[in-house]
Amino acid sequence: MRSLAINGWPIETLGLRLVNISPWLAGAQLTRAVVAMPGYSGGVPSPFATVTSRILTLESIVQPTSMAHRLQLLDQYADALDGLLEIESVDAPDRVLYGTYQANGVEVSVPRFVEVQAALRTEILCADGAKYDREPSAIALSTTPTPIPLGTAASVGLFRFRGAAAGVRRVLYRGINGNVLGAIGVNMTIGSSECVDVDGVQRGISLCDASGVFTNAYPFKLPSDRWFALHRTDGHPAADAWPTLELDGGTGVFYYRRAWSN
Amino acid sequence: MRLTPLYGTALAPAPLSITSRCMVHWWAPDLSTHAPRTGHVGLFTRGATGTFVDQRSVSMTAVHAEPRWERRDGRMGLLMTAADRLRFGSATGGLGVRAIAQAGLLEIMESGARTTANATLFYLGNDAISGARLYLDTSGTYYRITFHNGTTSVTATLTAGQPMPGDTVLLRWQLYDDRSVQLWQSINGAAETATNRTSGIAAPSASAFGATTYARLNSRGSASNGGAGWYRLLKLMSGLPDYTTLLTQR
Repeated sequence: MRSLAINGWPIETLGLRLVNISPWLAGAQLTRAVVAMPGYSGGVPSPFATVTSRILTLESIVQPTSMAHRLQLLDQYADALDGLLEIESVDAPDRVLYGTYQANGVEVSVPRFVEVQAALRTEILCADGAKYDREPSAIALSTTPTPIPLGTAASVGLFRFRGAAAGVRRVLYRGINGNVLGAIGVNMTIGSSECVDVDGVQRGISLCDASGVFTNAYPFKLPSDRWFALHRTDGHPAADAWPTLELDGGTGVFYYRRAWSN
Repeated sequence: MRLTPLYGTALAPAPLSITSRCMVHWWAPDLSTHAPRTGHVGLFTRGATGTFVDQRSVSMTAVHAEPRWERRDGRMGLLMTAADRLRFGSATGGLGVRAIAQAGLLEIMESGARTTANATLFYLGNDAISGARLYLDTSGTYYRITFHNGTTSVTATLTAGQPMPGDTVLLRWQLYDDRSVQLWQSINGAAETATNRTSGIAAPSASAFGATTYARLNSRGSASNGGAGWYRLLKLMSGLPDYTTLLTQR
């Protein structure tokens, strides 16, 4: 791959030469709310922000050898743009961005039937503007707080509790000062051959029995507990100090991908 | 399990999850014992506990049917030892893919299976190990690919390249439409070594496929010739795709 790959296809193998991509290293745009209050000087900032989607614009040139070849390359490119696109680039090969094709403009020089070279401008809508680690991470969980390295954006992941367990089992998320910032728990009775997955990405809970069959186990969820995300500002990354996860009993594992805002 | 973002209800013509146009495409970093990219149901079983490590080398004990996702060299794979089974295809309908002209690609990290004669890394056929079937196993010295039409078989065995534990191995095979087979192997990214293409054999009868065909990693049929390995990728594509297509196509 010399520049960028779409679903594993280096763009060069599609017959294109990438000339520009924007925005690439910029982070997703945040929209912050400010609420005016009567009798209050200025506005009150909301603690929450909305993260907008990102539209990635790829500008490229196709240099076919004939008009038939041009048509073939454009067809091939259109085919490659179908479905959810996983975009990788040579400058950050360990991170991927997800998007769907939105528009593709093709410009040819005049006289268009003589000049076969064409310029393409492709828009890809990335509903989630964050980039993610290509490879997931796996961190063993126990009753001892375990540091979780994170990217520059909030991460969610999947907690797996192993049996045997009877009653409430929780995972606790702490900042580096030790305060509990989040907790998610299940009330379950499972055998020593079973495990329960608490999936923060899909917000689902499932039971894997000893035969390897997964079934819905959402009723295990403790109604009082809320889904949470992990963020590097709960740690001190410059000092390699990360927020921690721990179980209140038993063992488990946390699978996640670090997320990056740039 | 899915650790990639979701975009809501999938609508044609743009499926909103990662999809593949291979016949079967299983990729370990999806952290699924199904093959979500091609929509195949998977079933992972072990029937005993097994140990593995997280990325900090902290040891863990997996319960019976818990897959052991293990990162090695910064890459995620599924650790399987001889008793582990991973099957693709539903219990009632099977896989829907038969051992007819196709190419396959398997990426593993060698864990000692090669030196155990008949240890099987990949199998496509019925659970009774009868009728038409395609499998990748080892002679005890080299990896080999075999196609069986229910009556007779052809086998292509490598004659060079003996991966050692810890080596990353990319195995690629081709089942041609005359039922001949050929196998290629790349160790740690080096140039491929290849077998000769075997002679062809008669086509299996329709009934030779059996009622239910599965693709399996790490065993032949449901219980025989367990292999061992750290599995990262399995792809099956119809026809005669070249190496680049097989490697990159989704």
